[in-house]
Amino acid sequence: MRLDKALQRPIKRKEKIEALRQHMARFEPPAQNGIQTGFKTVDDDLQSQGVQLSYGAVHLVQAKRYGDVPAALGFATYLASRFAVQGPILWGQTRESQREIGMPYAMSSYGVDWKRFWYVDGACVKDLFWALEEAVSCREIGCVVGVCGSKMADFKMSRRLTLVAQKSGCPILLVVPPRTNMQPIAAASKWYVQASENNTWDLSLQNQLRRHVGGTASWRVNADAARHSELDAQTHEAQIKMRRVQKDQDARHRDDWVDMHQASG
Amino acid sequence: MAKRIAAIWFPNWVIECCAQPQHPQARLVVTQPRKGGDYIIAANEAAGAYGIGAGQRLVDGLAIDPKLDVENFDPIRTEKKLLLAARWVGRYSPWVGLGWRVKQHDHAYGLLLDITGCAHLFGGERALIRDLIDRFARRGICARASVAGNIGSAWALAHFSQMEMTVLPNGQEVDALSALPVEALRIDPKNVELCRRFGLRKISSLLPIARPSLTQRFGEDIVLRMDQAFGMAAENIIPILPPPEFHVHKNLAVPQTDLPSIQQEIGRLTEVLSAQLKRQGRGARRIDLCLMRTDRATLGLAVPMSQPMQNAGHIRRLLEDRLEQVKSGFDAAFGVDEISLTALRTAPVHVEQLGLYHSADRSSSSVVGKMHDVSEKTLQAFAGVRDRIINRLGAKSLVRLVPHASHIPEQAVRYIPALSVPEQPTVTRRSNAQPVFTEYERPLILFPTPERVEVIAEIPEGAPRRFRWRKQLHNIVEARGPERIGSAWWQAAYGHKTGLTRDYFRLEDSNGYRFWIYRDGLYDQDLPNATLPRWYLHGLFA
Repeated sequence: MRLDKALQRPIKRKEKIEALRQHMARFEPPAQNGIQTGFKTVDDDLQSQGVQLSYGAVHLVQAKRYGDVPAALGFATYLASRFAVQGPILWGQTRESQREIGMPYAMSSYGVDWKRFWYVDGACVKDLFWALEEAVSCREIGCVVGVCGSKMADFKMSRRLTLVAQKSGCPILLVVPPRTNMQPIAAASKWYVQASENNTWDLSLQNQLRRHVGGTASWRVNADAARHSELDAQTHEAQIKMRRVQKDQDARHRDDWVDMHQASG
Repeated sequence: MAKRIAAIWFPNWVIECCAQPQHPQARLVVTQPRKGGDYIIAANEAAGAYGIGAGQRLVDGLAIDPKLDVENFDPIRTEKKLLLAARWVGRYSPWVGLGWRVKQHDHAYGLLLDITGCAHLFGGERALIRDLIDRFARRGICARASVAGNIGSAWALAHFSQMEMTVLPNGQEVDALSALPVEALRIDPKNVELCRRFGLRKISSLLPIARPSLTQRFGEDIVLRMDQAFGMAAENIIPILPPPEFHVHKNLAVPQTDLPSIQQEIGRLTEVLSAQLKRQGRGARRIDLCLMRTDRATLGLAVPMSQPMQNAGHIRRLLEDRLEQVKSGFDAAFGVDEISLTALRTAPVHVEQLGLYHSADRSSSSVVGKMHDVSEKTLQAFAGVRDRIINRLGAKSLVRLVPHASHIPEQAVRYIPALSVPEQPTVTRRSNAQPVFTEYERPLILFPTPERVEVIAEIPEGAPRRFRWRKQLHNIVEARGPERIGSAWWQAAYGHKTGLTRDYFRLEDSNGYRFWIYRDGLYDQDLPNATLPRWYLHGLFA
C-alpha cells in the first residue's frame, strides 16, 4: 500500500501506524547475521530478547571511568576476535591515544592471531576516521577496531561508518574513553565496560534499536574466560564455513533490498 | 642496431645554478674554500670581461673588482639541479646517466643519453640535439652536445670540439678525435701531465706508439680509454633511474592548468598502462608519475603498492589521492604539457577468472560462491585498502606486530611498516618466539615509553603497597611477582648500552584495575651506593 494513499483514507490509528512502519522498513537495510558474546549469562539474556551483535554495524564500547579503558579495550579485542572468524583485523588508533592509552601488545592472548592483525597509526582523528571508513568498506575485512582517545567521534562520523558498514557487512567497534560532554553516537549497540575486582568485568548494554524491549541490562563476566578463548582447529573450520554461508545470505538480502529500492525509484 | 650516444656538457653549470643577479652587468663569482683561502671556481660573463676567471684566488678577484658578487659553492644544490635536468632530458631517451667527471676537476657537469632508436622521433640526431640545446638556452643554460657511436668519443667531442654541436657517424672516431688534446680521452690527470712532459699533446701523437710501450709507461689507463673512444672496448651508461619496465607518455596539445583536466589525462594514461600490464600478465609494485610544466619544471610522485596491481581504477585512485595531497604545493604555472607514467617495478600477477565467480548471475553465484575459495580475492580487495591507507597516511602508518625472539618486553613485539613485511610473515630469528606471550602473562597494552611512578613498598625488595600514576593514588590489593627480566648481557660485550635488571609485578588495585609495573635495577647490585631504584609502569592488563 502506498503511504500517501494510506494516510489520506479515513482509517484506524493502528492501521496507519502499520503503514508507517512498513514504509519505514523500506529505508532500513535488511538485518544481518550476528555473533554471540560467548559469555553464557549475557548470551542467554540477549537471546531471550532476540538481540544479537550483528555484522555490518557500528558497536560502541565505552569505558565507564577513565581507568576502565584497558578493560574496554580488552572486551573490544575479544569481540573483534569473535567477529573476525576469517579475514584480517584492522586496529586504528590516533597518535594522541597511543600516548594516552598505550599500544596493542599481547593481542594473541585474546584470541587475535598476529598474522591477521594490522595496525593503523593515524596522525589525527580525521585521518583515523578516513582509514576506518576505507577499511569498513572492504567486504573481506574480518573486523575493524577504532580507538579514539579523548578526542571523540561525533554523530556524523559514526553515522557515515554505519552506512558504509551496512553496505559492506563488515563490523566496526569504536572504543572510547568516558567523557562528560559526550556527543550522541550512531551505534547498533553500546557497551559500557567497568573493571571489577578478581579479574572480572561489569558489562552493561544499551541497545539503541531495541530500547523499548529491554533498555539497559548489566552483567558481571570473568575476564579470564575472554583471555583464553582460542578455538580448536575443527571448530574454527566449522565457523569459517558458517560465516561464508552467512555472508552469501547477507549479500543476497542486501542486493534484493537495493533492487527493491531501484525498482521503486 | 648500432649504438648511438649523446653527450651533453654544461660549461657554466655552477654559475647557472646560482640565483642570477638582477642587473645584467653585475659580476658574479662562485668560490670554494681550498688550501690557502677561497678560490674562484666559476665566474659569469661580465666578470670574465674584467679578467676574473676560475682558478684565481678570491682576494685577487676582489682586488680587480671590489664590487664583485660572491657566492659560496653549494655542491648539493648543484647536484640536485643536475638530477632535475637529467629527469627532464628523459623526454629524449629513458636511458640517462651522469657524465664522466675527472676527480680533481670536479666542476665539469654533463649528462649522457643512450639515444639508440630514439632520434627519428625528433627528426634525426642533429635535430634532436639542436632541439635540446635550444630548449636549455631558453632556460638560460649553455649546453654543448654531441652524438657518436660510443661514450668516449661523444664525451670528447662535447667537451673539446670547436663546434657547439657535433654528430659523428660510426667508424669515423679515429679521424675525428686525433686532432683533440689527450685530456679528451678521459685519462687520469697524472697521465695528462706525464704526456705533456713527453710532448704528447694530441691524441694523434699517441696513435703511432705501440700499445705495450704505452701500457708500460702509463699503466692500462690510456690504452683502455683509447679503446673505449674508438669503439673497441664496451662501456655502458649507468642510468640514474633504472630502465622502466612499462612506460606511457603523452604530450598534451594544449597545456593544462587546472587539476581536474590533468587528472582526466592521467586517468587515460592509467588505462593504457593497465592494458600494457595486463597483456604481459604483470602488476606494478610502484608507479611513478611525472608532470612536466611548460617552463620545464617537473613534479614527480611515486606510489608504492603492497601487491602487484594492474587495475586501472585502483592506480588512478591512488594517483589522484597523492595529487590531492600536493594540491596546495602544486602550481601548474603556465600549464602542464607532458605527462608520463612509469611502472618501475613489476611482478607477475595471477589472472583471476571473473566470469565464473562474479556475482553478475546471482542464481549461479549462490551455488558456486560457496565452493569457491575466496582467499585470493580477499587479498586483492584488502590490498587495495592497504595501498590507499599507505598512500594517504604514509608508509609508516600501517604496521604489523611481529613477535621477535627476545625476552625484553619492548623488543618481544616489533612494530614493522606493512610494506617491509611479507604478506604471510614469519617470526623473526626463531620459529618458537611466539610462546613468550603464552608462557608468561603479558599485558594487553604497552606504553611506548614506560611511565615513571612513585611507589611505596613494604619492604625494599617486595611488591608495591601503594603507587601514584598520573596524579592518581592506587592502593594495591593483590600483587604477583616479581618476574625478573635481565638485560641482554651479551650485547655489553659488543659495546652496546644495556639496561638494568628489572623486576616486574602484576598489580591489582582496589578498583579492579590491573597494572604491569617494574623496578629498574636491583638494590645494592646495579646501582651505586645510596641510589634508590626507580619504578615504571610499562603496561596495563584488561
